[in-house]
This record gives sequence, C-alpha cells and structure tokens, in this order.
Amino acid sequence: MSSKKKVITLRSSDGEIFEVEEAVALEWLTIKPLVESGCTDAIPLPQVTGNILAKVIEYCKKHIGASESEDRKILYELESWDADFIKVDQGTLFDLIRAADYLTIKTLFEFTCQTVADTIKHKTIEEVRHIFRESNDFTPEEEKEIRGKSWWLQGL
Amino acid sequence: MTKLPDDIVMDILSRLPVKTLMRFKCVSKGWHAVISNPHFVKMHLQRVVEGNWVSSQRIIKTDPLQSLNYEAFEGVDCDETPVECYHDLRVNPDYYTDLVGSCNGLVCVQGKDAMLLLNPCTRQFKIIPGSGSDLEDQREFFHGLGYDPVADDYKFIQGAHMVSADSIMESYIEIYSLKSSSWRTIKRDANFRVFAEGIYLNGALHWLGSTVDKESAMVAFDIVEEKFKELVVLPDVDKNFHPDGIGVHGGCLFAWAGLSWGEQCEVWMMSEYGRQESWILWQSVAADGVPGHKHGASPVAWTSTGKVIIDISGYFMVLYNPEDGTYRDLPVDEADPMAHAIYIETLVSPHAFAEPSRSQAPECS
Repeated sequence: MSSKKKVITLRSSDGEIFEVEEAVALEWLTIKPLVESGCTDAIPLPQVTGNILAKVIEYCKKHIGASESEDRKILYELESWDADFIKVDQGTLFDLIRAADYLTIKTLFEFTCQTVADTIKHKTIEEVRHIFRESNDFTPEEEKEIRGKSWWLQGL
Repeated sequence: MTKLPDDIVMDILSRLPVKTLMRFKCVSKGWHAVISNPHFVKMHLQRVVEGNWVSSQRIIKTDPLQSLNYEAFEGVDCDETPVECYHDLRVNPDYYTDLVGSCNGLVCVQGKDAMLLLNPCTRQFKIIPGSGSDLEDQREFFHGLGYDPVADDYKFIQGAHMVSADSIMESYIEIYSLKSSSWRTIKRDANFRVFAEGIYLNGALHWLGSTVDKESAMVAFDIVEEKFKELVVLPDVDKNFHPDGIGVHGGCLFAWAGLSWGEQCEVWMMSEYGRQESWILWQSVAADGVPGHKHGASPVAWTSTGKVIIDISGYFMVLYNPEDGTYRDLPVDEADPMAHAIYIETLVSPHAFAEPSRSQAPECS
C-alpha cells in the first residue's frame, strides 16, 4: 500500500481496531459522511463484531474496482473467489447480511441476500423454519387450509 | 441468535420463484402476511421484470388452456411440472378460447360475453363482464391487457377502426379498468392501424401495424396516455427485412421475418426498449427439417441453451435445435387454431383491487 493513501480507523463492537483505505470506507454509505468530513478518530461500529468486520473488509478490498471490470478473466476469478468467501455457517452469513445492511454496502448486501435465497429455494418448510427461527404459529386447521389451497404444488 | 429484520427477510423472499413462495406461506403467520402483502407483490414483480425475466418466462396456450415451462423440457429445473392444465378452474374451457395477451403475470382470455383474467401460476382468476358492444365482429379488431403505472390499474383494451357518421376513419377504443370495474369508450384518429393481440411491455401495448406513411411499423399504445405512437423504426437491413410478426422475450421486444421458414428466419431483438440503435440480429435460423413449417411457422421463445420453440401452423409446437436441425414435439394438446402468449410468473392477483368472493382453488381431496 502506498504511504500516501489515506487510512480510516474503525472500531468493532468488541473493541477491535481495523484500518481500511479511504476508498473502501467511502463505499460504506452509512459512514461515508464521517469519512468525507475528515474524521481522524476511530469510527465506532457498535453493531458489528470484529470477526464479521474483518470479513466485510476482506470482501470490500477484493471487490473495489474489480466489480466494474469488463475483463472476463477478472470477473470469472472474482466469481470463484466469492464462492469461496461465502462458504460460511448460517450464523455468519446472517451476521454478514446485518452488517452489510447496517453499513449500507449494496454489493455485499445483494450478494449475501441472493446466496440465502438460492440456499433456501429447495428447502422444506421445516428446514426454512429452523434457518429463520420462525415458529409454526398456525393451528393444524389453518395449516391444512393453506396447504390445501396450494394442492397443485404438492410433490415439489 | 436473533431473527433477521422483516425488511431483510422481505428482500430475500423477493428473489424466490412464485411456486417456492406459495409453499413458504406455510412457514408462519408472519411469512404468510409478507408474501400476501401488496407491497411485497410489487417488489417481487419488479425483481422479475428487472432481473429474473428469462427464468420466470412461460408460455400460455389455448385451446385447451395450458401453460408450459418450456425450459423444463431440457431438464434444467426438473422439479417444475412442464405442462399445467386448468380444467379444474370450473370455467367452461370451450368458452374462453381467444387469448388476448398477458401483463405482469396476468393472462387474459376472451369469451363470447365475458373475459377470464387468470394468474396461471397462482391459479387465481376473475371473470370480467364484456362491454356488450359488437366491436369484436369488426374486421380490424384489436385488443390487449396492460398496466397503467400512474393510476396503478390494469386496463383491458379493445378497439376497431371504423368509418364514423362523417365518413372519417376512426379508432373506437373501449377500456375496462380493473380498479373501477367499469367500461368506457374513447376515440382516436386512425393514423395508426393495428390488428389482433397487442403485446404488453413497459407501460404500452405493441403491434406490428401501419402508419399513414408506413406499411409496416412498430406501433405502441401508451396505457397511461391512451394514445397510439410509433415506438421505433423497424430494423431495415439492406431493405430485405420485412417483419412478419413481433414478440417478447426476456423483457425485450423482437421482430421476426421468414413466413414459411423455407429458407431463413431472421429475428431482430430490441435490446434496449424504445432505442432505435439497440436492434441486434438475435438469430438467423433455418427450420426446413420440421414438417409443416411451409404452411407457416413462428418463433415463440428461446431456451437458455439457444433452442427455439416454434409454433407450426398454429396447430402444434416444437422445440427446435438450430445447431443440428433436430426437433421434438412439445407434449401439449394440439389445437385448431392454437393461440399462445408469453407470460412471467408473478404473485400479481386478478383481485388486486378487491378481495376474492370465494376460494379460487379447489381444496385437497
């Protein structure tokens, strides 16, 4: 890294300190005004833990500039890097979504939400309830009625 | 671990196909409410239109009424039923035979005195009363289903070019508003002539029609302004391209030529809506090995691997591989004549502006 590049300091909810290039931090719309105002103190991020913030920074550093590339080789490599990056447990994936939402990082938010959508597409109702911590609050009669209305979907 | 906030769950769900969402209504009361929410239905529709159009695209055909997930014939998404029938909807199948078109996932089928507005994916439907006029007996009759984004209303349009009492040629147009459940009539000068079913895209219906000075033109009827206009000039490559029809694929309009397919069929796609410079040659294909093609054939849709679905003489459909010239009949009931349209799978309800009076799908036996 060139010494001339401006560095922004961030502090996670558990007190870890991270340094990122200004160009990366400017992509995070939530803190963009602070960065632009020339803030030199560590920016507190009380909703993001250190291990998640490390992942977020890793993703954004990799993507800066590369997402807009028109070079097919670069895009292909980025795609396979993304596929490796997102091989995380369910809890981490949801934490990444929350962090991307909180920091307003559009590319990471799109990517993580699409990953969850692709994962649950073929899951059973019970599996989906477990993943999203949803409890079945239907009475047996109500559930039967809703399932009955979509009778032609049975077997899918 | 805490739950994801509702707006994030909504964002994730809006990326799923309709059939998956219908299934996920059983997850919880909260999810049932989200998936039924009109705001969510619009959010989902927008995502389909802007990004998932090709994978959500299906064919609806008459008669009998059947929908085709043509991509499944190649085994891409095998858990989908490739052909669905609608006998169980308890509407007289012989009665509704004239396919008017589709808009935002709703399909409109015209009967003698009424119309059927159907979402083939959710199987919700509504019967709309006819206008009571005899416009459809006119020689130059046209119709279509469109969405007015300003009024947030679905409009059914039917009209004809007729000579008025003052011996002037005029377009008489009847418009049914789904929101107000009523018909009204407007008149337009007959500078634009169109015929048969209009294809909906981007707030307008489209026909391969004619203008005062052009024999063949891409004519659009703006659903908001309720006016005809020429959308763009048709591609005119070396003056040899004389379109036989237009269609919609992947959210883009296309024009095709090559009536008998004796030689080549050329398909031009308007890759950016309304932009003249965006016409591209999409496919140039010869289908001379397919029986019946000489009596008239038209391209209907393309699979993700580049195979083309061809309507043969308005009687049956084949899946044709332009790479090696092989083809197979699609397992749909033959019809004489067969009408078909492209629609997208959405949650849009024909009852968007009113609660259904009764359950529209039969219960599980």
